[in-house]
Amino acid sequence: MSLLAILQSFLLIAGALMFCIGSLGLIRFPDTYTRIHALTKADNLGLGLIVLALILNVESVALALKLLLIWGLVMIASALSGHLVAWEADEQCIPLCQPGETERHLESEDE
Amino acid sequence: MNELIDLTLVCILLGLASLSLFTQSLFRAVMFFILLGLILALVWIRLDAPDIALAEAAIGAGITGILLLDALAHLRATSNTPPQLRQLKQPRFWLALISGAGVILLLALAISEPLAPAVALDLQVSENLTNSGVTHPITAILLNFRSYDTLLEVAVLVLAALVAVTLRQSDEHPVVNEYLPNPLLHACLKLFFPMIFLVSMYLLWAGAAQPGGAFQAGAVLAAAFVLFYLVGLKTQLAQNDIYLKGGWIFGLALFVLVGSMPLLYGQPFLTYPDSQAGIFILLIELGLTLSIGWILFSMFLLSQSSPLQKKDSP
Amino acid sequence: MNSLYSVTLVILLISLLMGVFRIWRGPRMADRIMAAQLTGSTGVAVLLIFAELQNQPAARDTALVLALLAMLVAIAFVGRVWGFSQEKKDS
Repeated sequence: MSLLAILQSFLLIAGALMFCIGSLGLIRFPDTYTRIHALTKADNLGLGLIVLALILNVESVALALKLLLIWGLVMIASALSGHLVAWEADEQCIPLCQPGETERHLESEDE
Repeated sequence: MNELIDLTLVCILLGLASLSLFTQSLFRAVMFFILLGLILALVWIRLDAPDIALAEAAIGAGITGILLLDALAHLRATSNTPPQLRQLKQPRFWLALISGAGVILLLALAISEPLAPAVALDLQVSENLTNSGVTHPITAILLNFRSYDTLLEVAVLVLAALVAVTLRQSDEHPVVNEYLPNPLLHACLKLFFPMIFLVSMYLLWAGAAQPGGAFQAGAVLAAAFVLFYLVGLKTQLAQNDIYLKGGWIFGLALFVLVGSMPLLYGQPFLTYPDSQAGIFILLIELGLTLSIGWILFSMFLLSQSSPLQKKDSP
Repeated sequence: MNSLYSVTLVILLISLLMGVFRIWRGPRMADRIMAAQLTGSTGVAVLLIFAELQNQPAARDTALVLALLAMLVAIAFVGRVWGFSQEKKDS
């Protein structure tokens, strides 16, 4: 196994695990704001690592640039949607989780 | 390992489909349905059908989700009580049962039918591909070998838009679209609008040699139009009836016009001269892209009738 | 290499299932929208790996389209649906 392949496998697995950590945050964190926080960061890092791994055995520069473009677009889109949802959540006075509290069930379903 | 992936995908697909059908909350159902579209795109790629995957990604992730969310907004605005599950009335129940059973019966018949003797269609396509003007077999079939089908498909799409405009309830008050005063949104969209247009045109151009083409490009274009509308950039073009309907039939008209050009030289309808077929197809596809994008956007626009203003009243 | 891609895919699909769980659980609409965003970017990653695994370059185009359009749902949600469910803060 060459050094390149080892690096690639490390990046791939690390990226996928990063996604899992983000999802774990989405499941475990107590309120809307913290869940947004978990998602917008871990995911983009995970995708970035996977894109880097894939770039290592790509044939042309154009293809590498395309992969980087996809990563950039996902980053901007996820930052934008995270920001919008948090902004609107604040406008609508969705409560923050206070220290010591577990997941909020009071006034839960807002639909 | 591959079986595990396929099995997981199938399970997620079936699970999402049943969740979106059986869940009580409408919003949840809409979210599951959007997700279903995403998984479906993955499954199409898995099945080596990238053309359909592209269309599914563009339509499922873009315009369908927005239409459903918008319908939800209308429901919320018009009635304060969430719609309950209702018992189907007797005749409707039997009607639904009979038609469902009929469809199942027909499908069973179709499956049990002995297969027609195999015609090597793929061989015929690859033999004639060099003369079709494009190198991607699916585009060659859609716009050269079987262009009648595509022509009629587009006509059906125009018809659907006409039906939508007929069914629309007359609204006395034009819709007030909520303008989102968020600086980050507008800064990001300045980047995204050109990107979406670029990707749309890329799909159109790439359609000649690889998966892509007018339908996918049109769906992406429609998403750009809807985005324009959602952030509160009013388009005057859509207010004008002539532009609105002219945009719908533009692609179809161009298709018929280009298709009837060979008639001048005594050739049959929709047969392009081999040497210029590529140009003809590109021209038709460009017209189709614009029209399909415009029709899908109009479907969204026409659903914008009055109830959204309820916001002011408590 | 291919088995490595498969392992990555399986982990990604598990992450996707967690997102589905959050959509089911809610409790708020915002949580569901954010979970849908998560599945969107997971879908992009899965598509990029499919492109390598199955030698299907068009999967990258699909990923590109998905990356561009995934945020539309969030914008439509914030602009249209949410405002009608609750009273807004006076400001």
